[in-house]
Amino acid sequence: MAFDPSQNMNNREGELSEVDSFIQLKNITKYRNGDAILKNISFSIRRGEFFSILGPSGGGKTTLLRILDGLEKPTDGRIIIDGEDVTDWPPYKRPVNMMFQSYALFPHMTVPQNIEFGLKQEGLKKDEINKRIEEVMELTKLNRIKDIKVRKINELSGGQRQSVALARSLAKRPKVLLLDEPLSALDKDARQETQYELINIQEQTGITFVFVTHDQEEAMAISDRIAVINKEQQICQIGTPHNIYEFPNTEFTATFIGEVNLFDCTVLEQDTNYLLLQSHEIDNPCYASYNGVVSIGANVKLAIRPEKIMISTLQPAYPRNCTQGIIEEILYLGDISVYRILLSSGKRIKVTLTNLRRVKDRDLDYENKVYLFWSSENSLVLTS
Amino acid sequence: MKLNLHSLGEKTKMKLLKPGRKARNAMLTIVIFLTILFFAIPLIISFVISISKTNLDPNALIEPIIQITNTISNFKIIINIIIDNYINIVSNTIYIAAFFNSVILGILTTILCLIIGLPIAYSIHNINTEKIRAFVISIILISFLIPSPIRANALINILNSIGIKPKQPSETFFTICLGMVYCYLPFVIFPIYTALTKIDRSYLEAVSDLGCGPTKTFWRIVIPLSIRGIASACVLTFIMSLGDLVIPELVGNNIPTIGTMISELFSTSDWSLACSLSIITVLLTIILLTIFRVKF
Repeated sequence: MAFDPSQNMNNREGELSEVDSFIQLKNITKYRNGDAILKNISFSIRRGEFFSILGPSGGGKTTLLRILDGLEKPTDGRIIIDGEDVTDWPPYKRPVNMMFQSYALFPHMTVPQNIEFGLKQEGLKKDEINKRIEEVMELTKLNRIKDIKVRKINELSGGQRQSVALARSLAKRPKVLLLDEPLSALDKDARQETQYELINIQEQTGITFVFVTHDQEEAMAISDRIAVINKEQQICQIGTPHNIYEFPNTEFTATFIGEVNLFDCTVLEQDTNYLLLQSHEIDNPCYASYNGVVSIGANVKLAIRPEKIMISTLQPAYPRNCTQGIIEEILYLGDISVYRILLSSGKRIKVTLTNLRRVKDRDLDYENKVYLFWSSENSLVLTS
Repeated sequence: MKLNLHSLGEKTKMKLLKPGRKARNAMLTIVIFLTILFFAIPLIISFVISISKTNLDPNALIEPIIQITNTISNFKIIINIIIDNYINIVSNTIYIAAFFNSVILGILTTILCLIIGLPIAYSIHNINTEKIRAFVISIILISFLIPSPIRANALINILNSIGIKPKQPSETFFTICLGMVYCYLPFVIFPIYTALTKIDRSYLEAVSDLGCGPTKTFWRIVIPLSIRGIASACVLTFIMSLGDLVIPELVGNNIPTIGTMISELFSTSDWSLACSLSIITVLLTIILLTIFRVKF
């Protein structure tokens, strides 16, 4: 289905005023060997924002970042950073630095030599260079490592290299720092630790961070705003992590970020704030909150997050927004349990419950007939 | 728990994928055997000939060995021969001149080859289209397949046709250099090109990101990261041009070089002196390379 970016810019967060936007991408299109890598991408980023570009691999996220850095030229479109059109500027002239996925630390130099490399190109004085090295080593906590100043790159661990790469790109005090999946090489604990540190550093320095990742949890945890890019190389949605999770505007965003149960529905009635929907997959017609315009009889998708559905063995008093099913599987994950439920319509859905009570003590077991219900505020209508 | 290759550390993985100790020992034995057979034994034979007084038929290869078994018992004779051969070489101006010429020619050729070859290698590396790059490489390779006497003759003809007929020693020097650069350029281009292809592109991008233009990138990153390839190219060229025979003989106009001297001595059947000269050349090369290694 054709996608109109303007349609999705209508929410408050996607659209920034000219004054607000620090980085502006205007109709960025990139073709490589005749294949489209990016198609007509436009969005803006605020000054001092932690902005993430989230999407599946092959979505052109890295290409977008490389275009921002100047390593690649867009086939069409303009890039404006801090009021200046930098589209035709080479990378070494842009007020932008990048932290590479491979870190790209120079193997023939020591740690301080790596950090000062960019500063030397600016022709700074020795005192200033040393001051800045100390500063970024403090910021990235590199100075806590013993003998770090005499170490070569191949003598460092993955986490230490990551810190050096970050320090090197921060030392130049760029207006924008680009991070290309910088945490993908770290193990889970180190990654979480680094996420906190990145947020800290971003707050301390006030530099605008543009972060590329395919890990939705990571993007949710660290970003002020997220741009979701789909497999067709288009921006689906831009918004705060909360907004994107709670109010996804496309099926792609809904399924890519978090999990979701989708039902095919037809619109029966439209109220000011609600739609009455009929689905062959749900026993009864159900209400869903909706503000947009939709015609009666239109086919829409109803999306409900697994944690927003309640389970009970007793029939609720109110029959709307309710359906029946049988518990097929229970996955116990410690903090939560995932229930796979076979609906009477034959559809399978997922419901998660926090384990407030021990699973044993719950009256939900395999093969139990259960009632599932949800509030109309927690049900989303996806029209596209 | 399942054993998953991905979950293992980098070092453990390397251990698992590396050949076992037995296989390594077998490979090492083969390498040592071949090195001794083709490099050490010929060198020892040369040395043995150099300290035996023979003026023999060049076809009788086995003769000097018999000779030496006879003379080895007589220590005095050996000392005399050594004094005769080696002192003769060191004190004779023509040999000193030959050494001097060869070393200067070698250094000049190496520098010229580097100056010409490095930009060529870098430009080949920078060709983005796979097909064009392969084409350029094959052109250089094909020209490399033409035997050096033919190339030297071609060079003489070209020089003659544009009016350069080397008579003065300095002119001759120039033509020898030209000939050797022409012949040895591929030996510089290919090792450097290989070293360049091993440089990760992300380094170049990082340099550009950190504020370096193309020129600075070349000097600060490309050269340091390919320095081993450059060094081995230089050593290779220097050694080859030091002992070269064909080019100085064809275009050299009788300028004495190590190559021409040794060849002349062999043709006059003075194997002993020829081998002494070779041994001194080997020693000289080792000394020069050691200095080079210490310096770089």
